[in-house]
Amino acid sequence: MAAEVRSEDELGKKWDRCLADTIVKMGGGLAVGVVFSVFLFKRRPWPVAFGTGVGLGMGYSNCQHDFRNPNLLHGTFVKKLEKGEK
Amino acid sequence: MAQARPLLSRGWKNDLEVVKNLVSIDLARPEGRRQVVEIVETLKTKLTIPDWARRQLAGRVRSSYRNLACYNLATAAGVACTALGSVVTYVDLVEKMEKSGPIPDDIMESITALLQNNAEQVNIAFEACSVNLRALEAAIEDDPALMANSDMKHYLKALDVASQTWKDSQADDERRVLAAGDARDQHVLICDAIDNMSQTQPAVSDDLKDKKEQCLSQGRPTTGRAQQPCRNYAEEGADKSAKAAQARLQAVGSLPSQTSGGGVGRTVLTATLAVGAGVGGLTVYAKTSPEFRRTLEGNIPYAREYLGAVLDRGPKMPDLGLGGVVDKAKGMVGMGKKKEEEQPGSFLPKLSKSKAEEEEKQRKVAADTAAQAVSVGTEEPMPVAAKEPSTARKEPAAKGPVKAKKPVGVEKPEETAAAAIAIGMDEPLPPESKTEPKAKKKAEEKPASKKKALKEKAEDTAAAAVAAGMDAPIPAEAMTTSGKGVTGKHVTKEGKLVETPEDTAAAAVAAALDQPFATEARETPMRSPEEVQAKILEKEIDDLADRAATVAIIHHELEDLKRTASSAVHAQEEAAHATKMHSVQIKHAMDENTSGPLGKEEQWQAVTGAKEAKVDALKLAEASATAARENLEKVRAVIRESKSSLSEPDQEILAAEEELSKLAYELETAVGKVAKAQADAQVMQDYQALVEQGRKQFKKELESIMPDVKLGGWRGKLSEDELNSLIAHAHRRIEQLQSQLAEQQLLEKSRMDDALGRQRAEDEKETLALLKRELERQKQELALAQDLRIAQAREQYETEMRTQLRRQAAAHSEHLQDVLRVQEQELGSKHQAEMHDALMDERDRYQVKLNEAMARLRGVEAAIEGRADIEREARKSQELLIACETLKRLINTGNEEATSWEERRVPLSREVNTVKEAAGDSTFFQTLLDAMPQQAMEAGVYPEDSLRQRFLRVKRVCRRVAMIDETGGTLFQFFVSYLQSLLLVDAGRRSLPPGKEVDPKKLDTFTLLSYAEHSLENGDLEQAARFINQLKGEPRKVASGWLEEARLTLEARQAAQALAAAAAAVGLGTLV
Repeated sequence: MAAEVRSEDELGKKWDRCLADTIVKMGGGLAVGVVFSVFLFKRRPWPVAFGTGVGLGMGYSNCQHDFRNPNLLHGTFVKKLEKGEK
Repeated sequence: MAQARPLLSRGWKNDLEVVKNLVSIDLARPEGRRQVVEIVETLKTKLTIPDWARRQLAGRVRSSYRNLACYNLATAAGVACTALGSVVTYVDLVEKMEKSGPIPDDIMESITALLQNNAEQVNIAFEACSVNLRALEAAIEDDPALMANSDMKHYLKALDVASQTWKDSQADDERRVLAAGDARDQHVLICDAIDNMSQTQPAVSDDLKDKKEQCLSQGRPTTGRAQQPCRNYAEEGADKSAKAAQARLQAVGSLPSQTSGGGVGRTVLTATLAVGAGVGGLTVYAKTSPEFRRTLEGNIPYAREYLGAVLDRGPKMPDLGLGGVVDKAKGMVGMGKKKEEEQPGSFLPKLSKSKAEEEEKQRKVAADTAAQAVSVGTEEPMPVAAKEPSTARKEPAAKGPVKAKKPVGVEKPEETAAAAIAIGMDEPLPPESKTEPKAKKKAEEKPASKKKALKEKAEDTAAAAVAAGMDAPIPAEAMTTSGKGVTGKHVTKEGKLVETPEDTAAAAVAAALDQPFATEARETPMRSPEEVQAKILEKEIDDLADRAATVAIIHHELEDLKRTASSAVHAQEEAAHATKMHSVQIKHAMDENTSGPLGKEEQWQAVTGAKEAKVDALKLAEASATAARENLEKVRAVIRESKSSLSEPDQEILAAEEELSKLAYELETAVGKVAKAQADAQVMQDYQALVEQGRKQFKKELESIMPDVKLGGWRGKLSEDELNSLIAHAHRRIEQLQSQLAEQQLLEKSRMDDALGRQRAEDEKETLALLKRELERQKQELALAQDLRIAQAREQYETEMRTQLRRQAAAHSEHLQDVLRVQEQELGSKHQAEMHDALMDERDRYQVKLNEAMARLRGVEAAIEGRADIEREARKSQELLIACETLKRLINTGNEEATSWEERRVPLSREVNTVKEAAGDSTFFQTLLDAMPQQAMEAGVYPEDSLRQRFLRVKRVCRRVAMIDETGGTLFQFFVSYLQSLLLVDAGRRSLPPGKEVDPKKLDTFTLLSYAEHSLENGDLEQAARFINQLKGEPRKVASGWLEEARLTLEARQAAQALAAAAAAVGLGTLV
């Protein structure tokens, strides 16, 4: 169980989450763009930029939404422990 | 020492001389050589170390000089032996050489020189030996005890080694000399050969002679050199040892000169002086102490003579011209023994030892007395004086045996002696000189027999007394020899067990034998009760022994007395008989008509014989009567004394007394008989004298009438004239006689009366005497009977008294018991009543006291309980206070061991529970505790420090989001706000103190934050929380966590403070 986050640290957490999300989204876009660029667009650079841009945009949007709705709950994966297992 | 002396004194000096002569003996002659060998042999035998010296060496020799002397002696003897061996060897050599032919002079010379060398060595060694021996002797004389010591093994070893060395060296020497001799033989042979050759061949003689000279010179110095060190050594050793010995001798001083005669003279002189001093001292002491002298005389032969000669040189006898008499008296007296010297208590065997000495003294004293007596009697004619001692001698001689038979166990010899002397004085012997020696004689005779008996007594402990008292009820053999016997007998006699140690019994026997002696012995001071007990016991035993001894003695005396008395009675009877016989004979002889078978002459002869017999018998009777009387007196005295000494009269003594009186009566009767017989004889003698007188008268008358006619010498016929005259005379005589007859007839009656009167008087006298005797006897018998009765009565009354006493005692005790019982009952009831009363009183009193005490106790208990409540409250309040304070402290400080501020939060539940427990069921405290926030109980609160640290970060974040309001903002807005915070320099406002009055409208985020920081820095968390509470929008959201915590802390703190205050108030309340 994650320790209770203090009120002053909540903003920092949000920023962390935003950044991570943005990076993931950008990386995804970049990867899609590269694939498109190699396979479909004869190694043209714009599919790459486009994909990255899309990812950046998605990340920004998510972040904005996060800051706007402060009471939004963010789910996290919790590994289910078998009985008797620590 | 004893062995050593002769060695020196006998022949050592001579030996030295001989050794010196050894040098000058000519060896060339065979007899000279023999002489040398002989001398050497004798010397060798003398050189063996004496046994005592060996022992001495074996023993521990304390003084070093003696060790040295011993060692030197051994060395010197060794040297001497060596030298002597050499001498013998040389002599052998000479012998051998002579066998082969005549010895050349030069060889002989060299041998002689060698011999002389050796002889000198021997000489020196012998001198050393003698000096060392003397030194040893002196040392041993100095301390003879050293002879016996035994820890000088190494010296003995040294001696053995030395002797071994002598032998070895001797053997070596012999070998060497023999070798030398062989060499010399060879030389001699060579010399001989050379000589022969020179004779045969003169040409080569010179060379040969040179060779011979060489040979000879070779032999001589070699041997000379060989002997030289030996000699030097001997000389040196001898010198040294001689010096040491001389020094020692001088130190000891016992043998300073060379001659041993001085030592002998000194010894003799010293011994003489010592002996003289000793003898003189002994003599002087013997003069002062007779006992010592007796001991001396008993133990040392000839001491008696010596002491007699030296000490008993009395004053010279006055010469009165009666030397013979004096001598005679001396001799006579000297035969006896003396008595006055004896002590009554000295009944000891010692007496026999001092016998001779006393004899001496007695002889002198007696001689003195005799001389005195003689000088008294000088006025009288010589013959008397001369005769009297002889009679005196005769008298005691007759008395002697009688006296000697006298019993001797009397305890007071002086008394007896005095009695004897008194009796002697009573005897009708007019001259003084006679009485004196006689008394003396008696006195002397008695001790002789007495001493004998006493000795006997002393030696086998009253054997005589025992022999006399065999039939005594107290067994006298109890006292014979062993003290055990005495004990046992006394035990049986006493009927109770008396444990008597043997020595006590022996003492008792001694006491029985020797009263004064034992008394003296018993007079030793005794203190302890045991000793007193022992003494009492001893005394009892002594008494018993005394009694037994007395009884034994009395019996013995009585036996003697009986014997004496019977003999006396017998003698008296005989005397009476002889007297009667005499008177009968006289009567018979005087009777004219009777003509028995004997003629008148024979009859008169018989009378004479009878008279002599009578005189003898009378004498004997008198003597025996005297002796018997003496004995009687003595026994009486003994009995009296024993009566007085013994506390209660004894049956035996009473019986003895009875016996005594009987014997006395018998004796007196016998004496009376004799007196009667004598009186009768006197009458007869008177008659005889009368007849004789008548006859003489008649003869005279006849002679006066006819002077020429001898009445007795009538032969043939008478002439007429004669007849006529005779007839005429007869007529006249008849007439005269007739007239006389008439006269007599007339006077007859008066005479008869007279005679009758006389006879009556005599009879009366006799009767009186008889009466007196009878009276005496009866008196004694009565006295005896009285004594007996008294004794019996005493016994009877005593037993009766005892019975009565017992009965009375029994009755008394019974009565006493009754009375006691009644008294006991009375006293018991009384006591019970009193006891009850007292008990009740006491119980009441006790009850009151108990109530009092109980009340007091309750009070005390209450007080203690109140006090305990107070104490408990106090303790509770203290505990509460402590718990509250702990809570407060915990809230303020938190976990002090934490490393970061986040960990300083500690759950308060434990402390709160403690406070809850301490507070008990106080509602006030319950309320207060309920006010404590639940979160603080479970998770705890942050202390102020932690909050302050957290505030720093809160403040920073707040500043960054200061532009964001409650609705939130875009990312851009956040970015702008961040820029603003970066650009805003809050140098002056960072920690701004709030003014007195704060306008809420003008407060922005930054101002609020700075105010809150200031408040926090000043420890005012509440104010800081108030300022933070004023924040709005996003900063408020950010600071909400902090604010909540601060609020929690403040709440907990407030609650804790309230609790602490309340607890303090409670504590203060309990203090009062």
